[in-house]
Amino acid sequence: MSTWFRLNSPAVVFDASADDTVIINLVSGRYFRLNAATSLAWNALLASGSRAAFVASAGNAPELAASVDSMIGALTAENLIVPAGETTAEATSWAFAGFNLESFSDLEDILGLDPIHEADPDKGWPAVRD
Amino acid sequence: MTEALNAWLDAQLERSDSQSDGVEFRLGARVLSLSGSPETVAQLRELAPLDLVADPAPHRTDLPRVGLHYLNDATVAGLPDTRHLRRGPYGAITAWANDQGENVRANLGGNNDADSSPWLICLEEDLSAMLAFHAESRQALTFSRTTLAPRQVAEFARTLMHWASVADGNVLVHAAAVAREGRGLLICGVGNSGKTTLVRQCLSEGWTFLADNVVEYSPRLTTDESVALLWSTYATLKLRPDALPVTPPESSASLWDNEAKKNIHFLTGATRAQFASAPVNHVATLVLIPNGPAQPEPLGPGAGLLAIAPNTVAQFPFFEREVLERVSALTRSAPLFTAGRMPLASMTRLLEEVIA
Repeated sequence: MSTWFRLNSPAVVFDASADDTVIINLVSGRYFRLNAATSLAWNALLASGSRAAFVASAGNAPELAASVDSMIGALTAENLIVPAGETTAEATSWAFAGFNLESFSDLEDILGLDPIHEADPDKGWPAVRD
Repeated sequence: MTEALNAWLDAQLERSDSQSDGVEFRLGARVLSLSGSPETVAQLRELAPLDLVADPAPHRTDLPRVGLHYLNDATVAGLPDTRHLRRGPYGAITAWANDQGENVRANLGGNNDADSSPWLICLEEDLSAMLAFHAESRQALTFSRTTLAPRQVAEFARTLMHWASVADGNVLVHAAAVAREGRGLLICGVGNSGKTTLVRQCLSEGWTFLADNVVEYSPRLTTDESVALLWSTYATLKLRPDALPVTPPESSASLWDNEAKKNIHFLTGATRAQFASAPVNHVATLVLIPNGPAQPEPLGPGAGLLAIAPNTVAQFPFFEREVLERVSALTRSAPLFTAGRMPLASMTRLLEEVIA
């Protein structure tokens, strides 16, 4: 079966507001912001069952096709998506207008903390073991 | 794999029904009903300053209840051997350990294991502490062989409160909150962003106090079709040792939190009278950021979500997806503003404009 991608759940959670998408990787402790244009690409990628369906869903398919590999590379490098089998799912039509994955690491220590093995046994969560 | 443990918990839950209730508090949007052996109840009553943490509420019938039953050592001695079970964060046995047994935080909705057990269980590997929550009956069982740390007293049963709030469709937010004439302002920001300073200034000028660190947000509309609600939780303030004392001086009792290097003040007297025992309407959210504007400026929902959600998820492990969704709802249900350090003299006037 050919490979496409799905959300790396449950390690990754995300929510889309009116103008942005926020994605949190609960394992790495890093979180991400997608602007409105990138949010369209993110939603279409997760709704598509194959690379062909993803590209075809964009009104400007050639432009998207040229960026798919770098987009997938950026998302897989952060373990936000993982390989999965292809399906016949198709995304609704949208227009590709660029991709920008903005990352933040300021909460890495606490978001990525394993509270059992890395929390201080005497002080408890969220104090980190020395 | 957890059948024996589930059966044991079921039996303890049945036994706990026959024991008398001990202490009741309103915490957030519900009453927390503590029970256990007479000795344990007596210890809970003496757990100073627990009676200052939240509203004593033995007769509140208008709110849902959550029971928290303390198991004694003799009972815990019969605990089935669980050391072979996979564990997630916090010693989570059900709901959060993934198929590989990795300590990956998962959300309840995304994990099929959660459907196989009615209990949410966190049990330390060395059997030193446990919290198990039976969501359907709204009863929890707990024991701990260690003394509660100051922050655990100040934010009593915080993990259970988080679980119960999620079960009730609400969310605990890492934030402070104050109110004026029933109009509530949620104040978000990372640690040391100025939340407590702002709250203290509001307290000194007669505002209603809801929380310094943990607020319960209720997106379900119960009193007014157009607004969500904010519920007070813990009547405490955390102050750095160099901070000015709480005034008037008789209005707080304090414990030193050696981990946070802060004094935890439990509000008493006149200041305690400003603690909200009823929910207020959520009319605005203020996000404090370093080097932000000197007076509040509008903030978009997306920027608000980015500023509030990861920090709140980090503070309340488990149910991350639910927390994220509900914080997102929060950013859309009332106007958002951002500010940095505001001049003390004009701070409350600026805040009144925000909630106007």
